[in-house]
Amino acid sequence: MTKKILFVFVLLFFNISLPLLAQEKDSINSILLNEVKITDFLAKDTISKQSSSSLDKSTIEKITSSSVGELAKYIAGLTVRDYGGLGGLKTISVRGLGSNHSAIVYDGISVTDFQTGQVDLSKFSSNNIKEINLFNGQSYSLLQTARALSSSNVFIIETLNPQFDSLQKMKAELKTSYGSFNYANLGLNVAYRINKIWTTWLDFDVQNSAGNYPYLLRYGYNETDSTSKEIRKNSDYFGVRGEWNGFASFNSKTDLKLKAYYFYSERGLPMSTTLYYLNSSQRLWDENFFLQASFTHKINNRLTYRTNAKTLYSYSHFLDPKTLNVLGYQSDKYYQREYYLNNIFSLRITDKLSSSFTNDFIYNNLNTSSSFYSKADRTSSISALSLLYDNSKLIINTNVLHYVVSDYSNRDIKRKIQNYFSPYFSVGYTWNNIFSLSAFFKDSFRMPSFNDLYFNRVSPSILKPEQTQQWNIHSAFTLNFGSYKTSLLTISLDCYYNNVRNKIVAVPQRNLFVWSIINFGEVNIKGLDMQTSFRFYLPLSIDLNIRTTYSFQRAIDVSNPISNSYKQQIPYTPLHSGTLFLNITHPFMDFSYTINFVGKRYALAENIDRNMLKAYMDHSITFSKDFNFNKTKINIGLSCLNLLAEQYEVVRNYPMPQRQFRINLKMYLK
Amino acid sequence: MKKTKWIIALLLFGLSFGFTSCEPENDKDPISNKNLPNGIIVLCEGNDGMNNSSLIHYNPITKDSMDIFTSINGQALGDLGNDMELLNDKLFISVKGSACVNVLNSYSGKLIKRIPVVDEQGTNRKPSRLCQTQTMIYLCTVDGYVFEIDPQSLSLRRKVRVGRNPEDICYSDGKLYVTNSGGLDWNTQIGYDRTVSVVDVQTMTEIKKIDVGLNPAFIKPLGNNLVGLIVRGNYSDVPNAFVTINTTTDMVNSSENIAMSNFDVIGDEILYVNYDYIAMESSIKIYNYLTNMSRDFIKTSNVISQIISPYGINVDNEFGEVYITDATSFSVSGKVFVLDIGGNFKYSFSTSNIPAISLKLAKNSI
Repeated sequence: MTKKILFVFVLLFFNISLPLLAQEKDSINSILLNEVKITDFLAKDTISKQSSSSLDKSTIEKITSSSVGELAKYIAGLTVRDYGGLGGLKTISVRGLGSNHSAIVYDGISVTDFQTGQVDLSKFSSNNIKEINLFNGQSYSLLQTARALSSSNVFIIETLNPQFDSLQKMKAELKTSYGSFNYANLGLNVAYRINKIWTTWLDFDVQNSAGNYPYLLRYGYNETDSTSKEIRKNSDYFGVRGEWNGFASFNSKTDLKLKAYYFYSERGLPMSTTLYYLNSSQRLWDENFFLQASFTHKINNRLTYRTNAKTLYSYSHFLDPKTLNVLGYQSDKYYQREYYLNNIFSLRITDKLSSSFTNDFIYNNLNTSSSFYSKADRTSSISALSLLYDNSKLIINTNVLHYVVSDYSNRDIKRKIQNYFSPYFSVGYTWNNIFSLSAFFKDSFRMPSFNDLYFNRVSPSILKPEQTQQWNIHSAFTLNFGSYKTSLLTISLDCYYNNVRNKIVAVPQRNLFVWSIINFGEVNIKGLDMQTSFRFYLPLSIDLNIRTTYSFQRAIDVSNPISNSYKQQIPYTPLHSGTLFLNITHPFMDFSYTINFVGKRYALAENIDRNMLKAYMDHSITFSKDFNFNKTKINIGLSCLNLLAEQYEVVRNYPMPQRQFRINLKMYLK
Repeated sequence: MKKTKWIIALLLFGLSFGFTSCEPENDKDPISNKNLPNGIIVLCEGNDGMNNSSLIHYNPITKDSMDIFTSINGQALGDLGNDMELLNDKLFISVKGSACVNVLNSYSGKLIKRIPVVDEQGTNRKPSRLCQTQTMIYLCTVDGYVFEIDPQSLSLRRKVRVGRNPEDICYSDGKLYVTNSGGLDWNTQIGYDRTVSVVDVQTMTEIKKIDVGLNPAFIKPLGNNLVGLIVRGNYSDVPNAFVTINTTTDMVNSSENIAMSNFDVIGDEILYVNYDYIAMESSIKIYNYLTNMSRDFIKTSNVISQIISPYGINVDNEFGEVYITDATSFSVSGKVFVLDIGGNFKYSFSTSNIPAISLKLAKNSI
């Protein structure tokens, strides 16, 4: 119901506002958005010259997913911690490093949550996503924010931007899906070219699910132990997102991107399936609003300037209506704000040598009704000086990053200032655009989140940042073959060694109610990522695409030689995992098949049977067909998710849905 | 629905018997219609939300250790087993997260009944600690009640409202003493509670509340008309203390210069465990609450250094044994150290996560 009202509202808004915007007529054919691109690689090469994994537009369109959290499962080297259902928290962990070490970049600027330090990717609907790129270490791009460079890896989400044909002034896309457990999704994207300079588009998305999926509850980890059939309760979700984008290309030297983003969601928190007591009534409300702008100006042939700015307001409200305290409930509200300013200067010293200086100035604060701490803030300044040498064969990239951070909370009153340096170095060589070999070393760290610092009963001790070191060797091979060399085969292989030190962990003090957060522990990770992609143009107009990923990671705890967890695989990290994406495009019909395989994992530090989570394979299948009416293209798709109805858990006691069906309708209006 | 579950469980249980000969690990399996062998049973709390609470049986002769609750009943104990009490042939186990008290036959280990502990709306009351008179079992629940459980009918009978978030309960001189921690208000304006509720067993009414100090926790009868309890304080400026209450005069005596996390009674003294997180040191000491003196308990060298996080402590005065549980890092398997009453190390064995309560099963013949 709410969904319908919002939809009508958006349509009304457009009917009123569009004629006003359409005053200036012009028929000049400026076709693509002319972004200023200087030394900005971002995986546009046919051969991958650095360690990365990506999902492009055509693949994203063909994977049936509802959020970026589900799409992320197809990125190599990445583990998604998924609490199940549409509203279940979905965070990523890359190569065993933990989710706080990844920067999530949304259209150029990081998305942050300073309270938890983790970004929930279930909040990002997949409807307007154009591309996802994961760079291990960092990308070679010189026009990056310092915050993106400061993380161990960067997960870049790019949203759809309109591509206009000549003479075209307006276009719209409408996407709807309906599926099992009352899953409903409506997405609308309307783009309008105002004049030669300005283009604007609005994206609106609403998602809803009752989440009442059936699952099999096991009463023990042995096959012979009892089971019962249950239905997930209090797992409903409603989320709405609205985004306005403006892009101005003043000339080939200057452009401006603007974005206003609003997100609201309400969800039930179904909690872990507690044996003999399946009852939860906890709720969570989230609201995010941000404005961001990115301005790029090519001052001369050598010097380019870019600035990014963002202001964020975020609100979350947690309610447990059944707490056994005096009030009889627990209701905590958290308000976060961020003011962000980035400046980048990129200088081309010679044809092959470039350098850049980037600085981020960030102010974050958090206000809460919870009495753990009611006010906390953090001011950070991150600067990085980078050098890039590129003669199209040899690429050398290095930078040094400086991080200064000042923390304050009204609980310990004193302002704490900390200072860190961290280096990065990468070298790569490419032979004839067929084979490339590269290696990088990166030292990075993550600051403790506000929860780590203040969310405990005992006064916090001084926490150091959690440190990571990464060594990586990347190789890639690309081959064009077939008639007109249109078929393509690419293979890439990465071997890495990562180390995490001063891990920020919670340990109990005195009893199980009093925990404190300390720097303790070390993890060594050795791994391998393999990706292949084949594209064959076969007879009978068959276009075959196969994409596979395979990851091996041995992530062992080396903290304490006398502990039972010593040299054990760390929790929720599979030794083996992989994906398969297969797509056949034919004028008659489009067929996609995906498999997501995750090997056995352990829910706790000891690698013993009672902590084990079984391996699973999630198969999904989609058929879709295009219908063309003079100016409108309609695509109808039918999909079945978890085709084999496998009952699995990603997180212990958070069962995932079994088989689900979905019908998808997409309309492209020109 | 429930019936089918049981039928399936029984069928599967039957099947597992059929395969016994094929499974090598079942060769030394004590499960059968026979009784459990004599040994030590340990209630392991497990980790919050993990459903990995377990009941470990250790046979000191064969050195076998296994989760008997799951292997005998084909279903796990649940989430956060909190306490257990043996009364005649019945073993009562309160499981806080799973909102129930499980009643087992102590000879066979078979589940007799699972008593749900929920309120009128079906919400978990969080059953926590148990105690017994010779004829009845009493249970305190985190929502502020004490329940009487009849070991014959296995049902909740009378109940009485006590203070906020009871932490522990004990019986002495016809009265129940319940520590009201108020722990769930620690971060609100109201703060911790500081009282012990005294409940008359005959009438099942609360006679009075005695002020004992901030955040009272474990409580046990000491003899000599005294009950003893730990007051935890607020973990910063209000320190941990050991408090005694005279059950006839209600006089309270507090010694603040002693830090302990758990204790049991050993003769006329108490035996306590503590872990100092700043010094990273375990201490296991005998404390004389009359003279305020304490001394080391363990006589065998190199034993104290092996105990990483001492957690539970139980003294079996009848068999002259002391069981100290070690929660190690809380997320991995724990250990139980068995000593004689004189502090000499006998043996230790491994358990599941967070072992808390240990009991000797001595009346089961093999």
